[in-house]
Parts: sequence; C-alpha cells; structure tokens
Amino acid sequence: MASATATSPQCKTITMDLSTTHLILIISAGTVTGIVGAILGTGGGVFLIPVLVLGLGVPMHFAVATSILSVIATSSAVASTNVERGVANMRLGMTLEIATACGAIIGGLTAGWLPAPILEAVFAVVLVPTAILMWRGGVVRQGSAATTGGLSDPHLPVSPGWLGATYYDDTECRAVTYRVQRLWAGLSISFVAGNLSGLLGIGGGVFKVPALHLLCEVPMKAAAATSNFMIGVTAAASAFLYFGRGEVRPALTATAVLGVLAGSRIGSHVNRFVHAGFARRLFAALLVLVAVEMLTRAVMRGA
Amino acid sequence: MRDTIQPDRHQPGHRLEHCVHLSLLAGVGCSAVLLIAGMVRVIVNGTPWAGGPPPSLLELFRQTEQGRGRALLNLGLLLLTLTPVFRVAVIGVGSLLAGDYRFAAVAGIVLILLGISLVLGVG
Repeated sequence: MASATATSPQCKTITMDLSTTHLILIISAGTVTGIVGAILGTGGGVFLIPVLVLGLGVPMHFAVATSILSVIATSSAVASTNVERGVANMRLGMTLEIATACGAIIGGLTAGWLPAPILEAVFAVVLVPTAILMWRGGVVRQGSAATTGGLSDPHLPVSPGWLGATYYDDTECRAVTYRVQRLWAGLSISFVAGNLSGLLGIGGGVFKVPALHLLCEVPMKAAAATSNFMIGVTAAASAFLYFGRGEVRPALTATAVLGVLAGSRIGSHVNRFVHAGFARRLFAALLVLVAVEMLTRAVMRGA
Repeated sequence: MRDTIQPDRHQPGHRLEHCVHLSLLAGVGCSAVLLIAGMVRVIVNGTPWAGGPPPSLLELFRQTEQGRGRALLNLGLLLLTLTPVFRVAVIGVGSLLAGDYRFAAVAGIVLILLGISLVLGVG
C-alpha cells in the first residue's frame, strides 16, 4: 500500500496507493476500532494506529494523523450527547483544555521532528501503562461510588463552586453534585495527556479519566464525559500541524473516520451485551502484545 | 420525582449546553456528508488516491465547486477539525452574553491556542 521512498519525516515523498481492497480493509479497521472504543470508553487511537501500521503498512506519521482526525470525530459525536445530558462538565473541561492544547501543540511539533521508528518506539512504550490502566479500569469504576469523598451524597448540602457541577445520574436516579479538588493535578495530567495526543495520535482519556476521578474527585461518569469533551479540542490543536505537513491523507483519513463513526454508533448499541470488564482485560492483554510487536519493529527498522 | 430533579432545559446554562450540542452535531453531520460525497466521487471518477499537502483554502473551494472528490474529502476533514474550534467559539460567545466573563476568558485563551496551532500548521 505504502512505499516509503524516504525515511526522514521532513521528506514528504512517500507515496500511497490505495486499492478498493485497501479501502474495505481500512473502513473495516475503523469500524472495529469504533466498536471497541465505544465498548471500552476510549477514543480508539491506541487500536487504530497499530492496525494501520502493523496490519496495513501505513507509515507511522500518516497513521497518527488519521487517528487524530478519528478522535475528533468520535469525541464530537459522543460529547454532543454528554453535553446535552449535562454529564460533561464544560467549565472544568474548558479550563483543562488550556493545558491539553499547550501539550498537544508541543507534541504535534515534536512529532514532525521525530523519525518514524522513534515515534513507533515511543508509542509502544506508552501502550504499556495504557494497558495497565485499562486492565485496572474496572476496579476504578467499581470503586467510584466510594471515592467521591461523600461529595455526591444527596443528603449533604454541597456547593459545586465555579468548577464543580450537578448532573442527573440515570442509573442511580438522583442528582449528583460535586466540587473539583486539586485542579493543579488535573492541569498537570491534562498537559501530559495532551502532549501524548499530539505526539502519538491517541485521545489520552485512559490517563485523564483516572486522574480526574481519583485526584480531582470528579465522579467517574462525569470524569469520563468531561475527558471525552476535551479530547476534540486537544486533537484539533495538533491536527492543524499534521495538515500543514501534508500528513493528513484525504482518502485514507476519510475512510477511517467514516468507519470509526459507524463503529462507535454500532458500539454504543452492542456494549450493553458485552461484559465490559472481560473486554477491557482482553484488549489490555492485546495492547501488551501490540506494544512488543511495535517495539520490535521499531528496533529492527532503527537498526 | 425524576422530572423534578432533572436539569431544567430552559435555564440559561442549559441553553448554552443545547447550543454546544447542536454545533457539535452540525459539524460532525456536515463533515460526514462531505466525506461520503467525496468518497463516492473519488470511487466513481477513479481519481488517484495519492495524497499530499492540502491546497490553499481558495483553491480548495474552487475545486469543491467543480465537484472534485479529493477537494470534497479535504473540505470534509477541515470542517471536522474546525468543529471543536467552533464549539469553543460558541461557548465563548454564549458565556459572554450570559455575563460569565471568567468562562468567556477561558474560552478566549483556548481559542488563542487553537489559533496559534492553525498559524503554525497551515498559516
């Protein structure tokens, strides 16, 4: 599919020829990524990039750019619902977006200077903590009710403050009010997540959601919705840089984006039939294997 | 009971949330339509898939007018990228009109950062 005539990221003489077969494979990969993302509550970039790079031979920089655009699509689609329902905390999200946008711009600029094998190696290394957090995700989610510090207790008169919020929890049939604690921690983690997003094309929700929940004491549901709300702006902050470098390949990216959008729609319907804890651990294990494969490939190419 | 504690959709805060919801939905919907139209044109016309840096905005609109598949795809992707930017602008204007100047200032800072990225990238 792709024939790289130059390995330096500064040389844009890489040609890409996509056949109808590749088109079907890419849209299928995007759809599966969208389904997995919807089931696991992630942007799906950690799955899409390995499929494109290892499975379809797409150069790393193009795969990252494709993933960034896909992340914008899923984030915008999901956030529109979460904002309307009042679960996503817009004030907190916008405040943290200052940090994520800064991180994403720096990450996007850095990616332009790094050769593909280095970028692949960094991606592989980042997959390991991602897999660990994904594996432990079920534990965090189960403990959410007990770790909100009593702030969500409907019997306590809680003032949400400027950054806190109140939302209606459908599953518990009650309004949940919370205050945001340790904003500096949220800003720090958001900067790092934004940096990884700009550099590697991942949403970074797997880092932000536990941080918002455990450090900022935001209830799990609001933390996930707020993280998703932020991801679109984070990805957009670096997407312009990828556009400018000519790394957003229209046909490749459009195919993947449409697949991911369709997949996330399907995933939101099928996720009630899937045991989320099992799926989370299965894909966490898969991510470790992908990390090993990508690191091996990066080392071989680097050598 | 349930209805009494659900957020009031007519409150000013919720109106802003509804505007944000609509702006995101419109952005994703329009870009999806452009992407599908572009894909169909590219497949029907058998345009080469090979990519490259996007053309200038003026050239992009000219090519879109001619119904070129790649131009439709580029425009769809650009619109998709601008959707979160538009959402930030909606929040900025909405909170300014509601008198929430602190929130408007935060939105302004985010817009400036996105503007810097735009200038660094395609400016």
